[in-house]
Formats: sequence, C-alpha cells, structure tokens
Amino acid sequence: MSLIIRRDPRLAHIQRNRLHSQHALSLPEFAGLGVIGMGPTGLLRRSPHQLGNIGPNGIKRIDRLLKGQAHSGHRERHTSVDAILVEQRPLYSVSEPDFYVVAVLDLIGGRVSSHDQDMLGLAQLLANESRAADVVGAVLAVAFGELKQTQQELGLMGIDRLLHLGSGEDGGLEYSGFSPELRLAALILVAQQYQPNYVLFANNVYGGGDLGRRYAARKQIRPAIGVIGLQGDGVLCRAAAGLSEFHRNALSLVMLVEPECADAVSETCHEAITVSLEYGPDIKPQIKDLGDVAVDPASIPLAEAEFILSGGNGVTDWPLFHRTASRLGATEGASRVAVDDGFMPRSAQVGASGTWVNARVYLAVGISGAVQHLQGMTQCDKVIAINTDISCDMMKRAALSVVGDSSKVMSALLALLELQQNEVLDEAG
Amino acid sequence: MKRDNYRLMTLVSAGQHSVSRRPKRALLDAKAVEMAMGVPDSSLSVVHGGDPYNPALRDYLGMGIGRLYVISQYEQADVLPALMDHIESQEVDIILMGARSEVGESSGMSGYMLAEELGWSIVPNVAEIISVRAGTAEVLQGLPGGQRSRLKVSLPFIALIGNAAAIPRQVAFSLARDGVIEVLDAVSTLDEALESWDILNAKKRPKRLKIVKAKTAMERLKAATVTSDAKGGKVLTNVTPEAAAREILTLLKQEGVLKK
Repeated sequence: MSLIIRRDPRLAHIQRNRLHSQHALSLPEFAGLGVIGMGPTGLLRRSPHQLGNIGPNGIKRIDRLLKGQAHSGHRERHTSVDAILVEQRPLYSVSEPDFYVVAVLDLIGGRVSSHDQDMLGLAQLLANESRAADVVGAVLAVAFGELKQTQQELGLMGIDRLLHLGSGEDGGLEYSGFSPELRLAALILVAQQYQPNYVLFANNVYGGGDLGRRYAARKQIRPAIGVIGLQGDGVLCRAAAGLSEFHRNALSLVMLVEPECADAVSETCHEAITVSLEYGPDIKPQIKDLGDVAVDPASIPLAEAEFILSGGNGVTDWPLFHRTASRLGATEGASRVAVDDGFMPRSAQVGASGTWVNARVYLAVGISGAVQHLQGMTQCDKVIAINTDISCDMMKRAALSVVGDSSKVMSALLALLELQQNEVLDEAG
Repeated sequence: MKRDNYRLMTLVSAGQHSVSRRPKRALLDAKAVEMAMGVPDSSLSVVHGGDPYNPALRDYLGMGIGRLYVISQYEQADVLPALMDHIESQEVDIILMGARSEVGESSGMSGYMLAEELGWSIVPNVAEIISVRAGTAEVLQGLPGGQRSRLKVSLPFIALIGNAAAIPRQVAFSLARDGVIEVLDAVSTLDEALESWDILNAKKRPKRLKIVKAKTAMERLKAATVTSDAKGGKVLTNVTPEAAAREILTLLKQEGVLKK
C-alpha cells in the first residue's frame, strides 16, 4: 500500500457544505459513532444498531464513555486489557542517574518472582523519593545465572539498569548452584563501581536471605531485616520470628525485604539497559557444591514439592500413574474423587480440603478442575492438563493441554523417556 | 594430619512459644544441638549468651547434654563481642547454630557476623552433616521444594541450621532438672541501636487486593466479567499420544524439573 496520503476533493467538498445530505457522515469525528444523519431540529441522530461491541457473555454493550477513542474501537476489541495498559504506560528513562538503588534478584527457575517484583517496586519508591528536588536514582538489578525474561518484560517490572552475571555470553556457569562466596565478591565489586545508596535483597530461602546477610556482614552494616514497608523516614521490620515488629527511624543501606513490602511497578515502563562490570571477581571459594542429591519424590511434602503429577477421575490405570510419577521424579497428588474412591491417600489430596500446593510445574491427569481443586493450586506456575474433555476448567487454566486418553499419553511418556535414555547411553558408549 | 576428635560448639538462644510466648527452647537451636549430638567422634560444648536464669535453658539440658555454658549478659546487650571472646579462647572446628532466634530482633545476622570476624566459611540451611574427615566436612544442604544438595566445606566453619534438619529429641524432665548450668562472667556491651527502635506487637497485615486499573467502561467490564485464568494456553487436539508426550517433555525440560 502506498504511504502517500491522498486528498479526497469530493469528501472535502461535502465537509464544507453543511446542507449536503451526507455532510454529517463525512465529518471525521463521527466515523464509527453510528451517526446516520441530522434530524429536523438539527440534532445528530445515531443508530444503536451500528454502535457498540458484543460483550464477553454475548450481550451487546454500548460504551458511551469511549467518545474520544471511538475511531480505534475496532482495533481495541481484539487486544486484551493488559496489552492496552502496557501500551499506555509512560516510559521513565533515567539517562544520568544521581544515585543507584541495587536490587539483587533471586530468579526462581530463571524468572523474576513476585517477591522480586515487590522488591523492585520498593526500589523504585526509594529511587524516586526526591524526584521533586530533581534528584533521581536508577534501579540497578543484579541477576546471577540463567535469566529467561526479555528486556521489555524486565523494563515493565521497574528495572532501569540490568547487570546480568553468569549469562551464556560471559561463558560462565560459575554462578550456578550454591556459590555465595563468588556472588558476594561480585556484589562488592558492584558496590565499588556504582556506589549504591541502598542495596535490596529478597529475604527468603532462595538465596537472597543468605547473600544479603553475607553482604551486610562484609560491609559491617547493620541491615534492616524483614522489611514490610516504608513508614515515615524509616522502615517497619518484622522481628521475633513474626511475633513483633519494630520501627527503625532511619533507612538502612542494606535491606532484606519481605513479600508485599511495596506494590510491584504497574504504571510505568523502564528501560532495563544492560550494563557490565569492569572486571570480574577473583577468589578461591571455600565451599564446593557437589551437586544435587537424588531425593525420593514421595518423601517431599506435597506443599513444598516443585513438580507434582496429580491424578483424578480420568485415570484408569493407577499402577501406570505411579510408574510415571517415579520415572518423571514427580511428587504424587490427587483430586478429591481419586481419594474418595480409595486410589490415593488422603494426604495426597490437593485443593480446598487438602493441601494448598506451591509447585512450579503441575501435571494434572484426568482432573477436570473443580473450583475447590483449582483453589489449591492457584500458586502453581505452569500447569499441564491431560483430559478427554476439551471444555473443562483445568484446560482453561493450563499452559499446555492435551485432549486424549490419559493412559495412552502416560504410556507414550514412559516410552519416550525410555527411548531418550537409551539414546544417551548409546552416545556415551 | 589425622584427628579423630572434632570439637563442636552449639550456640543456643532462648526461644518462646509462637502463640503463648511462654519461654521454651528455640526449635532451630534444638535442631542444631540434635545434629551436633549425632556427629561421631566429636566433643560438644553448648553455649548461650544471655540471662543464666532463663527457664528456657533447662530445655536444652533436658536433651541430655549434661552441661550448658552461659556467658552472662544483660537483657539489652549485644552478645556478639562476649561470644567472640569465648570462641577465640576455645579451639573449635564446627559451630552449629539455629538460623535465627525467636526473640528480639531475630535478624539471623549473628552467625554471619561471627563468620566474618573469625574469617570462617558459613553454610546456611544445613540439613545433615554427612562426614567430617581430613579437615573437610561434607554436608547436606536443604533447598526449597524439599530438594537436597551436597556441599564440601573446609574446617573450621559455621553451620546454620534451617527447617530442613531433623526434628530434635524430646526434653526429659529429670535430665533438665539435673543438668549443670555453668555461668561464665563477661562484660556486657549495650546495643544502642536497638534501644532507639520502637518495638510493637505484630499487626495482622491486610490481604493485598487485586486492583483493577481499567480507565474505561469497556476495560472495567472486561476486568469484572472475564476471569484472568481463562486465558488458556496451547491446546493439542487430535494428536497422537507420542506427539503429545513429546510436547509435554519439551515443556518439562524447559522448566528444568526433569532431573534425569
């Protein structure tokens, strides 16, 4: 299509002539507003049949508040709410920051967790504290190891600068596994290079709690630990294992923050410019990671398990289900029906009257997804559903759904795993 | 150099019941004592810095340690300097302690401060000490999601005991009554920073609400009527079980949950 905008002399003529029968329709601001002409009193008449959109439950809705945006109404109909909000977010770019706020990300499975996002929200609050006085800081996020998210996604979470250590290009896998000494040495270098005003960590068992305390001890700073929010000039911290809280009347240079310490960034968009360290850490670690130990998945408590294979009414071959679970290394879960029918113990039940699980991957076999069951698995990250009924609620929740017989799919899974293992063995010798 | 007898030290704190606040042993410290008692060919000394008359301390004696050393300190004191002096006067190979206390600031920093000042390594969330030999220890570390990993660490080091460790033995009344508490006098250093903070009872925090930021009626309508869960992902219909299995395995590998 040609990009040259051509004039339409006939349309221009109609628009100039108020007495023309098509005058009202030709005006640009009325296109798409359903105007069908001018009434005898000079009022513009609109046809409701030409207005509005079909709502989610099939009822026609005429949105009269959309007056200004009516022209683009047709396009918006096909984009989701989130997409619109993302497009509308203003870009905050900090070209020359006056100071830095360092946030060390935990990255569970290579993704920024919701705890990290809350921390980034707090970091943005701290960076923009004195925006009125034209002193603006930049949030520098430090990520170790694998990072699966794109620059745009990271920018939407409130990251101004990104320092990614141990990525593929760095040729370093040294930050993978348990490597707190190396990470600490790198952080000390970050502090030297950027002189941050605040360094934030997520206070949890995924590494942030440990690294933050190491950093504070090395820097001889008394950190604020268990920060649940800013209050006045200081911070509010949880103490005595959550029984009491105390108000520190000044901010600390190092803060270990709890989940929901601040709202995640949701209204602005940031740049997430990649930066790098001038030189890497050079130390000899005293702790050596010998790798993970095979843990019997059946011994892992359901609430803690990372990977759950859950069976319901659609499972006909239970021995096959157990074989699949042990071969995949998944902890077994069940829906209420499977437990009531006696195929699984009550302790394996997932849902409102059973366990609320926290798994990263939840493989649901033959579970249609009752509300009570879905409630118990709201925290799950990736759900895979195998079911014969395409319209079930579990399929709507799942990232990957397979419509088919559960036994056949599980048998195919086992066969495929067997095949892959043989290939690996053949290659090895 | 081969040595058979490794000297372990457990640092314990006074705990409190999570609801009634009645003094009792701190769970993580009790786990540390339990773990230290299970290390073969070793001697153990259990040390507490604080008030020697705290009734919680008897609970540790009730686990069968016989003798508890208490470095006497005021209530508002920073116990670290006194503890440092005591540790430096002893020869210790491994210090075991709970990750964080159940009273006071409960920051979980003391282990890290000690490690920094002594120049030792520190290992968090230790689940089990597998073996100690030839100047190195092999420990099992608890990871989130019930996973375990093996670490090799050179002596001396500090082991922080987390929730992953084994549950401690019960307290026996007669052992608790008959155990000896040996008080060591030491100078108390006032913790001035803690004095200046307001300490309150924890308030229940409101549940975070889902805020709908829609600006127009259409967006509000969508937010109210369409559940966010109903997005749906990739749906495989009319595929062979083999193709479906391949797709599932690819996703499992991407997520990194497939170990073998």
